[in-house]
Amino acid sequence: MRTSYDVIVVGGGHAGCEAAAAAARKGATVALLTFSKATVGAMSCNPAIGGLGKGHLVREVDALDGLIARGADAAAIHHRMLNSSKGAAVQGPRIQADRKYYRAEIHRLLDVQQGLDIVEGEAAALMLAGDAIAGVRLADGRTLGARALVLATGTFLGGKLFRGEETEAGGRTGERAATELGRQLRELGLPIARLKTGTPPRLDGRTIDWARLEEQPSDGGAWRMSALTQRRILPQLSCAITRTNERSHAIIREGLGRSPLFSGAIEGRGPRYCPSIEDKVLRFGDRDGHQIFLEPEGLETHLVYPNGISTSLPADVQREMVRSMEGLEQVEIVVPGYAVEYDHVDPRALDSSLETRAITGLFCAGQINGTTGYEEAAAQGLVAGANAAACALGDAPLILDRASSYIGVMIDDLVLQGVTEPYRMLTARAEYRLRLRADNAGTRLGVLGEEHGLIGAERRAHYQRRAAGRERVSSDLEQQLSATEMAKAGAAVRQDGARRSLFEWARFPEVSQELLLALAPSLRSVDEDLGREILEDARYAPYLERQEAEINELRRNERVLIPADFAYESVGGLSNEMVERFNAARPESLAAAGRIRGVTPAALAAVLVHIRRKAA
Amino acid sequence: MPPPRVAKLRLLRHPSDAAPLDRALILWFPGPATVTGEDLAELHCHGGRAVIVAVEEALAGLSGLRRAEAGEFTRRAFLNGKMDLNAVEGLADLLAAETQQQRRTALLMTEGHFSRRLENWRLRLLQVSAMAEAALDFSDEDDVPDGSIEERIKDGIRELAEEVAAIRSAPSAERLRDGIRVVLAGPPNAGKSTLLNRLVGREAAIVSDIAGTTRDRVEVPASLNGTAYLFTDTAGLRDETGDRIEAIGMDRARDALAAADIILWLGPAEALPRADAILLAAQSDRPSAARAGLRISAHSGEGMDELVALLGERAGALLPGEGEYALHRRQREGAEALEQHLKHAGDTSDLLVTAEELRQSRQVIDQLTGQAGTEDMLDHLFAGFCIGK
Repeated sequence: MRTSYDVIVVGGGHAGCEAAAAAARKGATVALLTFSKATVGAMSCNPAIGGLGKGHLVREVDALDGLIARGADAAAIHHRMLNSSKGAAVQGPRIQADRKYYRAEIHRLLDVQQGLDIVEGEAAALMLAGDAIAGVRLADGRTLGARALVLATGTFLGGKLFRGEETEAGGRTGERAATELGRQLRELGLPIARLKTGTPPRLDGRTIDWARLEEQPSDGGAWRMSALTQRRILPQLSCAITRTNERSHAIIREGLGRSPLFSGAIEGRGPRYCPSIEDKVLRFGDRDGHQIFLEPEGLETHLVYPNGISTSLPADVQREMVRSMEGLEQVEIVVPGYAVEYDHVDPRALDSSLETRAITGLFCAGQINGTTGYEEAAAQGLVAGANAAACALGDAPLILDRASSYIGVMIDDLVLQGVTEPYRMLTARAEYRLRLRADNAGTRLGVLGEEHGLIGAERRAHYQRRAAGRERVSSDLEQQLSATEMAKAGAAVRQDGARRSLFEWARFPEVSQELLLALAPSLRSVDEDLGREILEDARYAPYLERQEAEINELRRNERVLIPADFAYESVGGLSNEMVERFNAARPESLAAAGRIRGVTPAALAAVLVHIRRKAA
Repeated sequence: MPPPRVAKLRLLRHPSDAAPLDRALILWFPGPATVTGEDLAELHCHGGRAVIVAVEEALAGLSGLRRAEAGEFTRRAFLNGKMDLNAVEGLADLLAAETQQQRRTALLMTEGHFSRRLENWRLRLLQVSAMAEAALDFSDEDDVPDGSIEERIKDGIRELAEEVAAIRSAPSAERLRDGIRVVLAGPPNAGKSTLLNRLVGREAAIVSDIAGTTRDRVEVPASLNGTAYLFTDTAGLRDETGDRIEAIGMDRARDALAAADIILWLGPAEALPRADAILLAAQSDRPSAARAGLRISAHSGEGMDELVALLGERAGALLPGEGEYALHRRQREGAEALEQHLKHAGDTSDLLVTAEELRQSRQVIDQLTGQAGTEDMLDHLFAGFCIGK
């Protein structure tokens, strides 16, 4: 048994698994420390992966050779492309995963990864050498040495479960909470706050009257989450839709007095976009019902996840509530829903590599940074793991900016703005949304991943094939055609006498897919999704060019650096409020400072003038 | 020291030898509730040059004190968040205002009327943007916006675009500041220079009986009935000339005509350079054949009141009315860009493009109020900032 590693990752959830695997891909020796090996790769909440914004994150993690997309494909029992009627930039691939298959695939991927050990034990305290990480002490007295450590403890820090009048300490139901570590983080001066999240009751699918419910079948397409997955593997199941009704709402209202959300027992703030059913009924009282998706949790289990009724009402109220809904009249609850309140680190204490500014080599990823969702966790895990390895090995850090990826958008939001509710990815958060599509993640991030040593052999081969295909298609699309020639070929384009490249013609609605395939035969010979990606680029080309100019401007402003020890207090004319905002976020550049919410142009100008004066 | 914000008469003494300098009214204003946001003191001295030199010299001897740079008070007010960009520009106009109309319009800008309008636009843009984003990000979830949301987005965009278009066609601040360009033109010896001198009330242009006396353009600013004009006398226009200098002068006259807001034409009706030119039958005191146009005589004063009234009427259409503000080029260009983005946002059937155009629209507004927060914007702003207070 080794007692010293380059990198230790604490926690085996989505963030921890990606962190450990990314660090190991970069060549670091890694210990993945977990309470119990069996829970590594567990999906503790919703059995779905992907969605709007989240699907982008999954594809980006995959582009950097992460695990989550491959895990999802191995476990997918239901596929749905959200927003399929809209442009590719806002389409969100989403799958239902069989928990067992997902966990098995994650275990397999971790097992084949060189240099990665899974160590069972409870992290009791960080070991420090001055202001730097030296390792971790376990609850049983063992110690593990390391130069970098990733905290990916999810909701286990100061976690507290609530269900009606009952409370217990713990992150997930039935597991222990890492409270000692939480105390140490507070003592180290990391800013800690509390958030809450919730889960719905799990139902026994055998007691649901499926025949009475609207069926939502898996979509008929062939898309996968990972670029490396060749085809869909598992048989596909349908979901079903039911609704709450006036009677369910009356039951909920009656039970509100016994809900910890409203008795004041929970102080943390929950997400606005994923409210508990109590919240929904209270805040949207005029609605006569809310849609509930009944999602099967797997092929070999009867458990069903009713998406849309996250709750912390007492178990007896939960039972009455679900039984008020159509198709659920006889339903049995297997595990009642509950709310979790937990500690998180104010992510403004981190820099954009996800390292804490206070302690060298200490990285945080996932829910501990105030985010919610597997996809958000996985994405941070990958970045924190890569950077922990870079820190231990002396490599350059992996910094993703807002123009490169949703991952970059998320990390920038977190480290600059902090969180007031659990942070969830939305496509609206990405200003360069038209570029950052789920279908072009590999194109955007492949080269970067290669530069940072994150790409394995299989994916490298995939990227090389794709680059060759892209070259063929691009050269076909370069051919210049006049409006007359296009008309002759069968496209009723306006006869403006212009000559355009086929790439430009491709965005004209009169130019059909068939015509493009005929004029650019290479489109047929490459992967279907590569062809689609290139045509989508063509469709939005004028906007992409305009954004390109904006991004150049952004990157120029990113180069106006603000020294790490910049004393905002010494800038004349800055109000205390502004000084506080700057000090909490410690922006690394003028551009970042300008993005901090509430910072006035005047404050920004004052900072700029001060930096220049100092530089002069 | 008097209490804050109370004026007191005090004897100013030199700090080193206590020699009396002046008896002056003094006031002090503790920050941040001041025009710059910082502590301010005012010494109202007597205006004699020696008094001011002595007081300034005494002040310069105090450590940490120096003379303000041009525009520094405004700059500090901006830096301390006391004024936004539009107010700064309005203030520059206010300080440069020479006519009552310039003053009124600049004051509206300084007091933030345009900024408030922008804020209103920004809030409405945020509302339609939020609807568009909801339709994009939450279309597949519960509490989905209903089916009519795309129509509501389009309606919101259309209303906003109409309002922006109306504001965009507001009068230009440059016109207000520099004066309405009135060009006097016509054949040689038609009395243009005499008329110019009469209009501006002084001998600004040389007058003689020799045809072609005015060879270059003569520009004279003047204020009539509270409106600023820039009168331009031009070389007389005739078909041919062997004189190269006169030919250049005639070219310049034609350029002036092209850029004119109002043309006073002192030539034959059939040669009217523009349909809206004011045809004048000048030199009405001279015994010549009756001609078409407003009969005026710069010598007898015949028709002069009517002409000035006519100019005022024409100018009124070009200048902001009571309670209207004028737009600077920066503001006008912003409003034009905004209108374009809104038009594209409303025209497309791709909600994704609508959302992108709305994002660009929000950026334009941020740039107009100086909230875009990029270094370039700040550079641009500080470069054009040198105004005095």
